[in-house]
Amino acid sequence: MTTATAPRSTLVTACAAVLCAALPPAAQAQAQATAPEPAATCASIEVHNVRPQQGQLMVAAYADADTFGKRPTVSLRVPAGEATTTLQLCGLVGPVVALTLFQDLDSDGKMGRNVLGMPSEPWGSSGSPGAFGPSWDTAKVTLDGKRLVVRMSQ
Amino acid sequence: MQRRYLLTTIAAAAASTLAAPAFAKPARADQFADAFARQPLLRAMKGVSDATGDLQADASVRGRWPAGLRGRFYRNGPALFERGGERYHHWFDGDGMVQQFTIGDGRISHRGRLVRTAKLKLEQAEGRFVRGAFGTSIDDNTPAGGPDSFNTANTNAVEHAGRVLAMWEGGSAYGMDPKDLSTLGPVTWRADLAQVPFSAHPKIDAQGHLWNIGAAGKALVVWHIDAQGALVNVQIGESPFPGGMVHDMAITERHIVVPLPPVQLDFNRPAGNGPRRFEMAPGEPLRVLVMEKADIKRRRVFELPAQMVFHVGNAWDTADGQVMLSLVASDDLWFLNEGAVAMMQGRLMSGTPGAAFGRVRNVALAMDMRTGRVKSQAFKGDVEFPRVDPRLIGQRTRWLLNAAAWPLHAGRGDTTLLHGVQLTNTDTGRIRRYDYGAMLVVEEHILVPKPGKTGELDAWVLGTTFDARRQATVLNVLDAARIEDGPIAQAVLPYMLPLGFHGNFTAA
Repeated sequence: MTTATAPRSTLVTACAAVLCAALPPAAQAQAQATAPEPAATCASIEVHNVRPQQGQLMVAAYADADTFGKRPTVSLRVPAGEATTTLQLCGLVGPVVALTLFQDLDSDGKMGRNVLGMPSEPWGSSGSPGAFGPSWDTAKVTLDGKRLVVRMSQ
Repeated sequence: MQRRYLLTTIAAAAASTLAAPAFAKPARADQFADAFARQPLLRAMKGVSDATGDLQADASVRGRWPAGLRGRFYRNGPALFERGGERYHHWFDGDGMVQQFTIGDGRISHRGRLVRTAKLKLEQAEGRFVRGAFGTSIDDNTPAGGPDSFNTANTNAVEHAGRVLAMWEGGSAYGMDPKDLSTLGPVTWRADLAQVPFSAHPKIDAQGHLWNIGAAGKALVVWHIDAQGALVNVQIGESPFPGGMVHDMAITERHIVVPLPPVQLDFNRPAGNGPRRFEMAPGEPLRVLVMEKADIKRRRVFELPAQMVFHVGNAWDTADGQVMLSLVASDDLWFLNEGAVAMMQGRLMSGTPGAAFGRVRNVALAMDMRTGRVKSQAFKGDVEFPRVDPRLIGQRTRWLLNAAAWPLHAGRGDTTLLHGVQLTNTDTGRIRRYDYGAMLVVEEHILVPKPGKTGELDAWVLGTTFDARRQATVLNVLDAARIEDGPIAQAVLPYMLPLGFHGNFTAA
């Protein structure tokens, strides 16, 4: 049914620390789609456990290990809708993609953190985020036309 | 460093796997049914369910309850151990249930409610355990938002500034309404303090100010809340033993005192086929961290031979620059790794080497802040749950109250389940105690000062027991000055409550 497996790790703060890094300030501030390359494709993303109607969903997609966490192929900001939300993300290139998400509840453009650096806003990623966060290896999934599933943290 | 720091931060609260080890599954819920049927002392450890986790009844009163004893006695402890056919391995794993005994006019009423944590609500909705627990790995991939995703709010309860705080160790306190014990949600005090650990053993000083600690990886947090429940400040320092177990703390007029036993809580290690196990870190001492309240960066670390410490009794400053501290120390992690697991299997450990007497004792430390030297004195008796006159927290005390066990009853050669209450004079070593009997389990007892009196023993001793003959939980009141006489009054509940941890009294 899905190409994304649920995250195995529960070491969330670490994940989120990387996740935050994975969404560069420009991407966090505003949706910006880079110019689609000739082979660009779209993917349908099913996001679960969204806090309904609260703030924005911030999505970043990466095409390879070198750019992961630094330069997304495409990023997206959409108002949070229902608890299960389906998004269409276009401009993806290559056979694989890694998605990182957070829900910007207070719409300040960045992931909220407490004084210890722990995330205070929900996060999610494609693949199976490891204990140290959604690395390229744990987050990458095959772009094969199937819907990608991401569960936001609870 | 950031990654490592964050990892250890959350590891203190989370169950996880780094390299996908074989998970230790929870036990089957029906696995120990026969054992509980055979062991009446532990029958309440079957635990409550969602359906039986909310209780309310008037107790059957025996004897004459003192007219001056009016108020609300709270207790907290793990209570829900089974879900979806699975059973936790470890006593500490269960979801918290707060008990409220309302005492006055010769009547005692009881209300008990499961704390509606985010974890409990998620697992109720899913019909299964989702989050990893202290002593049980749960193989699940549901993304967690942080420490409070694992928070069971199961360790202590205190009414402060008009709300009940149900506390765990690795995350936020949960607020509850004193009127009906409905859960109000995590108490964070300030937006950027969400999910910052607020440990289960805060100390409230004579002015009603609440002091607490929280540990997350390298970070050691010191909380200061005023008598109205407003945050005064939060200080964040570095632990001298990062990632270690930090359970209890003491205060003095000037200092925050934190024992740091050399126990590393490594939740990432594969658990094997059974409960998680914890180890003393080789070569590491028992540390006692003494920080100035005004600036926790001004501190001293005292080192003692390796010992396990859960609980402190009291601490105070002396005129000649010493910090005095009483605590309960044990030689090893026998209870953590064996005793608390056996309880969950309906087993007593009588006759096993680790359960032998003489291993868990009151210890008094004199720590010289000028020289860094520390003197240690151990007292007789196998004890736990140390408490003092609540008006003298942070000030000089002479008497420690404990729940205790001693070699007396055949078949009770086991220090896991306590059968008596004991007062120890820490000046003289004199012990006074009362034995409830072979068929009762004694839970934590506390000192409640008599109104208008000032002496340390001008107090009632208030605490619960589990009566295995009646299969009922009983609230007892004793006179501290005549503790040897036993209860002067009791209140018998029409049901049994799982054995719990800690509690506190709020006068009406």
